[in-house]
Amino acid sequence: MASPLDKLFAPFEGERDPLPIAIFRIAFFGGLAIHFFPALCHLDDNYAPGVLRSDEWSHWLFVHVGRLPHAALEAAALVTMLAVLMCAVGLFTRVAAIVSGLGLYAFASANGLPVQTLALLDAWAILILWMICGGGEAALSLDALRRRKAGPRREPKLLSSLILFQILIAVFFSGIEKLLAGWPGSNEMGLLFSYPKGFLVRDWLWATPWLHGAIITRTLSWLTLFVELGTPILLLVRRTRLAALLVYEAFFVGIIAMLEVPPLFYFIFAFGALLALDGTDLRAIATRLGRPRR
Amino acid sequence: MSRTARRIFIAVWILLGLAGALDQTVALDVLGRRLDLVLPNLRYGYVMFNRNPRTVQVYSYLGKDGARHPLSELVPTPALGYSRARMEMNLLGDPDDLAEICYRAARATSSPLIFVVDEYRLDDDTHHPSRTVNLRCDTHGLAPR
Repeated sequence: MASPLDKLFAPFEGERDPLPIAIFRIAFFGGLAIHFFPALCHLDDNYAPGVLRSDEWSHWLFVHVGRLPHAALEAAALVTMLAVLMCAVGLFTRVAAIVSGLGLYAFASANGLPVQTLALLDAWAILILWMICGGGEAALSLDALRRRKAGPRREPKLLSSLILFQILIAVFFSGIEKLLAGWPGSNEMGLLFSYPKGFLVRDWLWATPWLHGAIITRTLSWLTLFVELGTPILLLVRRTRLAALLVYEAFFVGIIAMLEVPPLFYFIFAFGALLALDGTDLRAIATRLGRPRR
Repeated sequence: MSRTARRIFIAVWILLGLAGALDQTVALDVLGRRLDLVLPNLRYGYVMFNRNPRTVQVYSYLGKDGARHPLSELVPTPALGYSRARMEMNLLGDPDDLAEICYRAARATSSPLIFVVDEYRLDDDTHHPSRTVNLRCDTHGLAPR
């Protein structure tokens, strides 16, 4: 019989369907590529001596990476980009995660200006977890093709469960921070939607005045709180999981459609929630889509 | 990883995650200060839009056609899908970045450029700028026009 401690750790132990973490791996490292590669391809504009830089992460790296000769910077950028791509395609994933994590952190520390965003908090957490736990390459990867193991593929739960925890805690505490900031009474969403053309909101939203009305923006403020405080819990309950996932995904599509936020933010949060799906959920979804899964 | 080591790691990671989240939300009120939890993922709060600026600047420049274009077009490093927000956030955090954008733009073109900064005070008027400043950008730097 399982002890209380075994039950407590059960979500993190044993094995699970590898598809959700494989999809997340591709989305996450794809998002990192979109976010970092432009800066890494414009080394002279962002890391050359004399350019304006901001110190956001490790001060030691800010000082020392800035002093590296150009050839060393170029080599480091190339190795980092290669490692990110290897993670995305699932080739020597753990080693590649270590190299890409260290490389991206070093470049983000050397100059925050081209890459700084709060989504990096979650990116660092996920990269640390990937370095420590490894995994995520049992499906949709070159490693899986190389190994060609017979029988159904499985993946340890540890990495995907800890990443899911990381994402859900970020979403939940975003809601808490908004509550503490006085939402929805302050109608911050109304303020956000009233920003002039060219500032944070996308042009179509600026050009759609009926969306700026107090009733709509207050409703969206409440909805934001509901999603951020509710879905992290409802995603963990099997009976409410699929409905919560639909609401959650619609919420993040809404954010990226309305506001100019980095794609990395969307890739982490929208795809991260897929990690809540287990084999039973995936079979249920496949059956509904008319493609039953064994 | 042995089972015990794995469980210790899980417990520590979860507790640190919760401590980091509480550090950014209630620590200042309860302890009077924030804690340094060392890990980079615990350094800042998670949310960006909880309190939004009520005075904002919109940056543009006059093109050769005389029309206004987003100033982010002059930033050499692309930011896919959010180039204006990237530039605006950088300028909010570090206003010196405007001189840097000018420096790079001036090097790339022979003729001077006019930067236009529209400031909106949203508590007063959301549709019209409360102030507009034109700046001349050339190889000597930025200067009021």
